[in-house]
Amino acid sequence: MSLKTKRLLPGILLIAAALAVTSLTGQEPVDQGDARVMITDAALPAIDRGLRLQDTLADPGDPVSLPLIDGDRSEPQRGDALEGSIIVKFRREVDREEAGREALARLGGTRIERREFTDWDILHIPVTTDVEAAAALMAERDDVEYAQPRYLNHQMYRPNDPFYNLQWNMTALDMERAWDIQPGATSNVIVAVIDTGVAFRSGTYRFNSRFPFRLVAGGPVYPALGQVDIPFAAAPELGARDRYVTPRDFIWGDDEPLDMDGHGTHVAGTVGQLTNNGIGVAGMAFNVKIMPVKVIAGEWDFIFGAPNGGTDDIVAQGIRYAADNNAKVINLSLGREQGGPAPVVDAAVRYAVGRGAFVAIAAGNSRERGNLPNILGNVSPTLSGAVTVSAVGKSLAGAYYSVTSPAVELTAPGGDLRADSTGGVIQQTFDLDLLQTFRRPVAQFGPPRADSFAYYYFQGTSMATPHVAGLAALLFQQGITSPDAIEEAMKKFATDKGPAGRDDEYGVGMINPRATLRGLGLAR
Amino acid sequence: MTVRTLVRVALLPLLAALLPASAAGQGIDVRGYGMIGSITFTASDSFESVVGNDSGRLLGGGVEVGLPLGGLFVGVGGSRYRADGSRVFVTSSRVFTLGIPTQVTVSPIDVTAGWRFRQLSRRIVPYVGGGWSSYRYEETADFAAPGENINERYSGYHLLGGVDLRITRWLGLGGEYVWTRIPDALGTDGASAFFNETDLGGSSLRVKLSIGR
Repeated sequence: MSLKTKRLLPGILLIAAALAVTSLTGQEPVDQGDARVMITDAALPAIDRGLRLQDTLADPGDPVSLPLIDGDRSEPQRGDALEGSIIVKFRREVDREEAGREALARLGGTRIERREFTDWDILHIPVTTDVEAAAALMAERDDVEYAQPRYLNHQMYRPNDPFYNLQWNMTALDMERAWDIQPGATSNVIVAVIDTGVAFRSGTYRFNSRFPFRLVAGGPVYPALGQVDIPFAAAPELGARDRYVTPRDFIWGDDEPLDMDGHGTHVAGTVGQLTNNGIGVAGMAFNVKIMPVKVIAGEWDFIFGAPNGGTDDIVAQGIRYAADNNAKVINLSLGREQGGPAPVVDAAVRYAVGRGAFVAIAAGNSRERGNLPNILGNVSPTLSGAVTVSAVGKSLAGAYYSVTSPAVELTAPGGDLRADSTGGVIQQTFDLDLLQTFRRPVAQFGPPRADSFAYYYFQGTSMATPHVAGLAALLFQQGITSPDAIEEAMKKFATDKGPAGRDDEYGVGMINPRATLRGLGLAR
Repeated sequence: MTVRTLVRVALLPLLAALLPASAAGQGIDVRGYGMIGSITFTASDSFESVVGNDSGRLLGGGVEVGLPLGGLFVGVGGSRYRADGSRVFVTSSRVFTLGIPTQVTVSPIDVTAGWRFRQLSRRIVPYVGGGWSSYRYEETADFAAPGENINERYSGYHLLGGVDLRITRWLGLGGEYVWTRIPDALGTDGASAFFNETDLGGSSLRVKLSIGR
């Protein structure tokens, strides 16, 4: 080794060492893309923060509250329907492959896709094609049973600023005497909560927030958070893991329907919150099994780049999945007021009822915004075994937001926070202060926590619907085991409201659980 | 009530006319009896849905007095039907049993006037009659609030015909058929309203063991 080399050696070693360290510490993390990854299924116990008041008023019934992501989205959206694809159901006798190829050629489409729990296809067409026109064009074909755009649905509630004595809704329904007859059903009855997911398990999940976003057009832009680890906990008042059966997430395409919104957890609480345990509030059918099926994307799902949104086809998949997995009651506190008919959802609801599941559908909250009924409820008046549910407030008068429509068949407590600040339906869900960090100023924006819970008053036909679903579960346990008979029983014993007989505000009236469960004697 | 039943009941008075009493001048006969029988309610769908059967056992007894006017007799009897069932929900195609225990009790009281045809035989005496009926209807069920159970009495009428077999001078065995109509006792609520059945009456076949003359 020359002297010159000896002099250079320390420097070379230093550079080599530095490179080695750099190559270790500077290693780029594996890009997980939009996928979410479970880091650990262990988590700290859930935090119960008691009764909370919510600071911000949002209106999830209004489509503009959906986040507008400034970045690449696998399926861009415009209006209330996804662009770039439509739903097509070819007639059974038709060669689907051939008809699909022909349709693609006509629409300039790229591929045809058949997903699980479907009997229809997704036709991928150019993003520039008007999806409503394309669907109308397809619907005219003789080999097509129906075709429709992939309309986006949303949860039907209105969270607002804000235990059993606060549950005026249970008192109004005379639930204590109803539970004397049928104490909360049993684990033999499965109720599918098809919604934004349910806080059904604990664990820490890693998400990737890759793009800046803004909540409202013209609003502040929130930064991308990069990879974030989010703690999840099961809602303490919904019970242990064995409370849930066959969970499914059609937004993320896996079996982890984690609620990142709070709506589904609140709805599940009204259906089956643990009751008579000395904690929190009560649920209608507190012993049933809950099947969490996620078909609606919350803001965080969009922010983290979930591969699917709550389109009609995703909702229909969820309904068919629930029916195929032995759900006896399906709660649909979701829907849309804009866009055309939803034959794909109508067919799924008919399929579910045909499989023996009772379906409860929210009527919609747009009474003061054009009184546009939930399009997903249009199927129910012609289908015995599915009902569309409007909402009453604490005074048992129709809630200001609850739509009036020929589709309304029954009414139930959904709350009216305009009339009374404690007039909502109270249930446990996430502590929204810690979950909805995107409602803070940009400087305070950060990753959410989904392991902290509180009791919130929500209002909406979303909140009314699970009362009906819960009663359906109780009736199923009591012995009325067919969806059409459940509907008939509910209507027979409903308490008439408004003008005598059926009307568009209350349907045939407010559900009367105690009378319905008690049924008929010989002479009385 | 079937046409055949009506014809049978109608023929009995005719028989009475053809066979005038020959026992005029006899004294007053008094007999007591015990009875077991089977009643089939006219409101068959209502009873079947709630208690599982439109027929049931009838137990009772009474007193009959033979007047010294040929074959004329009067009597008063009481009986009771009781069945356990469950409250239900009924649709046009199915009855759903709700598992809520229900007890139905019907307690008829029949006041009857009739005619015995003693001249046919000393031991075998046919008779016909008719009269006023009062049925107490009780329906109780678990989870009933005040006013939801029923304990009401309804009135109607009955027609009957039968045969007495005198085993000894003081002991007799008889069989009779009774048709009763108790209108508007049912049908305003419950399963009976669904089935549009309003009559609490029915037809019963009874076996009577009597002591006395």
